[in-house]
Amino acid sequence: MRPAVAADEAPFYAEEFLNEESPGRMCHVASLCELSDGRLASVWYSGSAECAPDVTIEFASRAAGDGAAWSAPRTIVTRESASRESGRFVKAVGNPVVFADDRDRLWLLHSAILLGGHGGSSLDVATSDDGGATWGRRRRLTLSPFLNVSELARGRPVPLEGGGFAIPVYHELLGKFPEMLWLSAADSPSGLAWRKTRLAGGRSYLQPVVVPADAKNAVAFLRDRSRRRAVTMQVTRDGGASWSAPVSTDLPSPDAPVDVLPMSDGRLLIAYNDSPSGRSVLRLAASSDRGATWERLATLEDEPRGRFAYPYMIRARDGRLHLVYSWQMKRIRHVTFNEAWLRAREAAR
Amino acid sequence: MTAAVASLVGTALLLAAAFRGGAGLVRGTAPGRRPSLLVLAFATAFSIVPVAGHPVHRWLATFYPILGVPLAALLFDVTWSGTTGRPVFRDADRRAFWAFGSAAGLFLYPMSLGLGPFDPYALGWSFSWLFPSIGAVAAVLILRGNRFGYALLLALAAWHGGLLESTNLWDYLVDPAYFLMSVGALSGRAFRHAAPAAPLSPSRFARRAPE
Repeated sequence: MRPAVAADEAPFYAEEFLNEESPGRMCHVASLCELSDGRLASVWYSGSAECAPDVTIEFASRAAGDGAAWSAPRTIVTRESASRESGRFVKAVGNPVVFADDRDRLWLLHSAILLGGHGGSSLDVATSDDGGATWGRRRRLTLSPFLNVSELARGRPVPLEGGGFAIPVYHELLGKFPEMLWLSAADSPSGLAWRKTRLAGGRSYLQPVVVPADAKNAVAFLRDRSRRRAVTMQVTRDGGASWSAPVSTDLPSPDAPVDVLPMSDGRLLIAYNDSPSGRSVLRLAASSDRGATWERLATLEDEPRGRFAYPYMIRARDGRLHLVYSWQMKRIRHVTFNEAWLRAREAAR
Repeated sequence: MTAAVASLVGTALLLAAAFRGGAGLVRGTAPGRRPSLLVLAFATAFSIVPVAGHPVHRWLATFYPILGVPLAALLFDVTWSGTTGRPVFRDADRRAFWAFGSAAGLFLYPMSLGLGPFDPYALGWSFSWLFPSIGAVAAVLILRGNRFGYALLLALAAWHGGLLESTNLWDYLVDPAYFLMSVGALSGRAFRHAAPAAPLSPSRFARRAPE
């Protein structure tokens, strides 16, 4: 699924923040999506610490066009609202992912922590028919036979032909392994249908991101928590029914998630922390062999003792790429660029 | 809605069984017929009492989200047998409960929690060989007069009707508490059968062979 972009476009690059710094509050795990009119919507979580009861899920939107500004962040989920709407106790919320379907309905997937940390979380889904102004129809997804805990989302959903999404999720209780959640609207009491398949087993792979090449072939990139300290990948040739065993790429990774998008020339573009030991460097690199080898293109952040993490990218309908990530764990930075800018950076190297 | 009713029924049955067990421990005997109905009524009423913003049965749904059909059937039998004096499930039926719970849990839990690349939980999302296998086991059990077969059929029907919050058949067939109970019951039986007979004591010998 190679995207089409104009060949004669001028290089474009812009960066901005989605929120102001709040003393004592961290910001983390941002995602964003585009609606059909070009509006952007983004969510992330904010709180005193990960899995703390005061964590809230924040929402901001931006009209189409270069001059448009992001709206002021608005809290859309608290542990109290999640508890009230799901009819059960919720200790904390976290890890939100927002995406839009072809009817401009926004979907919000986030973890609802019942006990302890991320290992004690289930996944809730809610939808908005008014561009994020109001959210409803909250539903708890039963995804694990063991008390339905330890299911989290992080990666960008892949829209499916005929409706629905393949959403990269992961499990982290005793094992840590990547999975795929197949979610769609349905004529059922819950209005949803879902199932889950596994990408790999084991104890070290999580936070997958999936890049489809066509209806059957796709590559998944994983965070590897082992001592290998490298970005890991898998491939499927049967539409996600089965996956190859995970193998390390030549890109280092400090036990951190990455994001990958296809480029119009067939290469893959990755945003990643270019270090085996820290998240102080955030770079873009490209691969022309489906992820086996990579060539560094641009440095977005490089600051000693910096913390720039959890990149999340989308390609807008106008061909531009949008990247959000945690900036020093205090703010969410939004970077917009196009492939002409990438080519210019590549030529300048 | 049906999931909320299922959590209420499950909590009421669980609490009724717990209250009966507690009363039995305190008094030395289980409550009779009328007290058993009262216990069930009290358990049902207690299940809807709000505690810290949620009814008691929703607290159970928080930390124990799915109570499977076999365990619900066993809990139902506790109240039913206390009320009528006639248990639904006999010893042979219970042995089938424990054998299935142990086998299903041993097959499901280790691999679904990450042991190896195969996820048996995926078999329960839509029609797979799991469904005819469960149906065949249920048919054989029913033909042999074992009532656990009806519990399996009920689990298949409940999944088809979307009675529980889960859409996965495995959650209707087995849950962690049922699995642990099954392993405990089978282990206890195996231990009792494997234990050597107690040697005759001199005093017993003396009584068996009087002068």
